[in-house]
Amino acid sequence: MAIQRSDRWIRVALLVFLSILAVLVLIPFYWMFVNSLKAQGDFYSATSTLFPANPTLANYKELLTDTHYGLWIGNSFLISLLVVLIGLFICAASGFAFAAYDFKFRSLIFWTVLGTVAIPDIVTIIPVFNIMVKLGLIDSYASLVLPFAVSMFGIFLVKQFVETSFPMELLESARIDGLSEYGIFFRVVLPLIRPGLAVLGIFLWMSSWSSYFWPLIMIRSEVKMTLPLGLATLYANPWDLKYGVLMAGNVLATVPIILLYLLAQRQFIEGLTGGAVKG
Amino acid sequence: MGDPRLNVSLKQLLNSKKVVPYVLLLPFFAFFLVFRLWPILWSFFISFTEYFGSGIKFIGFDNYVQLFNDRVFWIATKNTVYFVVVYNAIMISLALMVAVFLSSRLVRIRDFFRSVYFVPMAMMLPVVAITFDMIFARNIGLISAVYGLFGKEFSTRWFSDPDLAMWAIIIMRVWRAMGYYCAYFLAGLASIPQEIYESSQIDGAGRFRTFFRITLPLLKPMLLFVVIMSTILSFEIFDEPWILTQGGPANSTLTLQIYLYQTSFLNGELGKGSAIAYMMTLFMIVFSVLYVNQLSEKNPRRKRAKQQG
Repeated sequence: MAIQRSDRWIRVALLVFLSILAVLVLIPFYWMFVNSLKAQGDFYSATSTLFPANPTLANYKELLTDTHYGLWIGNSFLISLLVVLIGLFICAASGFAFAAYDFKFRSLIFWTVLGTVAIPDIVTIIPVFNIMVKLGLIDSYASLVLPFAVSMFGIFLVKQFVETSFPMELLESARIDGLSEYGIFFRVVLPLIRPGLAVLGIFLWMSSWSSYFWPLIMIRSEVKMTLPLGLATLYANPWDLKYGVLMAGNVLATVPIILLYLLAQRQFIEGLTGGAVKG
Repeated sequence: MGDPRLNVSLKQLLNSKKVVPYVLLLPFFAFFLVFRLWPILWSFFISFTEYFGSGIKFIGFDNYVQLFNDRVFWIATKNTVYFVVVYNAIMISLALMVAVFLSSRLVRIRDFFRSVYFVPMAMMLPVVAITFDMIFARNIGLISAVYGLFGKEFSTRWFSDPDLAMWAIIIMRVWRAMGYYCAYFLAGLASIPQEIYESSQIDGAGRFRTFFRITLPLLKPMLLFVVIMSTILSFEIFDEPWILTQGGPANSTLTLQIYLYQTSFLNGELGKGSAIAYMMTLFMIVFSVLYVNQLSEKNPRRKRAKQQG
């Protein structure tokens, strides 16, 4: 009897703690949203308010007409899409090659690649920047797509996926049926590894979409900026920082991702944790 | 002239099982050489040179010696290490604790809480930075609004105070990452079979005992993975301190990556910047090795082997 009673108290305490934590986690979203609805005048008063005095959508209108926000979203979208398409193709082809074939330099190539994974990206920034300068690709989409089209991690992921859940007999029977090796790759393998590709796709998308440092280095003109860079530029305005407009920008940048999260939660979590956490 | 035998051979060659993998790997290999391998080697080379974009002058270890004597470099190192250690200690403890609470048999809506805690990952770092600026701000901030409810004035200048600025960044990072790593720990905890808990309960072990003697050791691989991964990732922190304070006030939020950015891309010193990049890599490797050693030292089998050997 005593055990049950103390158990109930612990359960209540745990639930209270977890609930408070949940509220704390969600507060910044609320604050971001609420401030996007405040008129500019609200920000000039000495004190801050928890709710907007007169909620207005003016900030959103101003965001889309007075800034390059539309362009920024378009740029981010295009670049991320290219990264995902190219990245998925290359990772699938390479992962499949490592997993399904035994070829002479297989180990050598694989371990060379594995060896360089330990070296962080910061070491490559300056030379890659140099390459982009020499190729005249600074301030272009290519400078943000090309370096990220290949993800070592993605290749390992596909290799794992094919090695563990792909029936090799299928390859053999496809060969007997007369399909070329490339035909097998496009018609048999790709469709079957689609769930793994969906997860990898989310991973590639999110890395590209939220990237700030590389665009900061590669992009020079405001119209070519990606979303994170554009928002940071809006923020860095020292003269008349329009907080409401800024928050509207933040909201519009976050809502699509939250939607993606709500619609495909399992894949989202799996994608961001690199497949380590399954749904 | 077109020898039909040769033509057939080429097609067969490209389709043979010996050649196909190389063809499939070709795009990857091209990218790898251009964007990974060459840059790694080239940046190592120019870290030993004076290079401002045109004209390379070999100067041996001068860049590294310069860094060693560079007060700002060591400030950046100190800040980065301070951030990495404090942030990870708080964040990982919190994530682990929450994961344990959520895994307890007493809580049933585990998936709901896990979903909520993961949502901050939907906010990009620049958005997090700007939003939290509006939370900590004096006149327009959230804390200020709450203070206002009680009739008090909020006068802490979070981002102007050298002692507080880094803490603001730590707080916002903890907010963002807690749910993410909590998901890892939940997965790790879920892989521990229930029978172990049942048998320990039969043996009469209390909750704390069970946690420290059974759960924690079984969770060690996941813990090690999380610690190393988070440490390495957080070492490269750039977005928030750059956007909010540009490394200030008084260099209190100057991280190594910011220093690299300033050196290479604002001052154009590419050779010195590469040296900074390699120093960062060295620090990260040292950190990881230290952690691996620390966390596996507690392995009783190893201790016994040490005593015997």
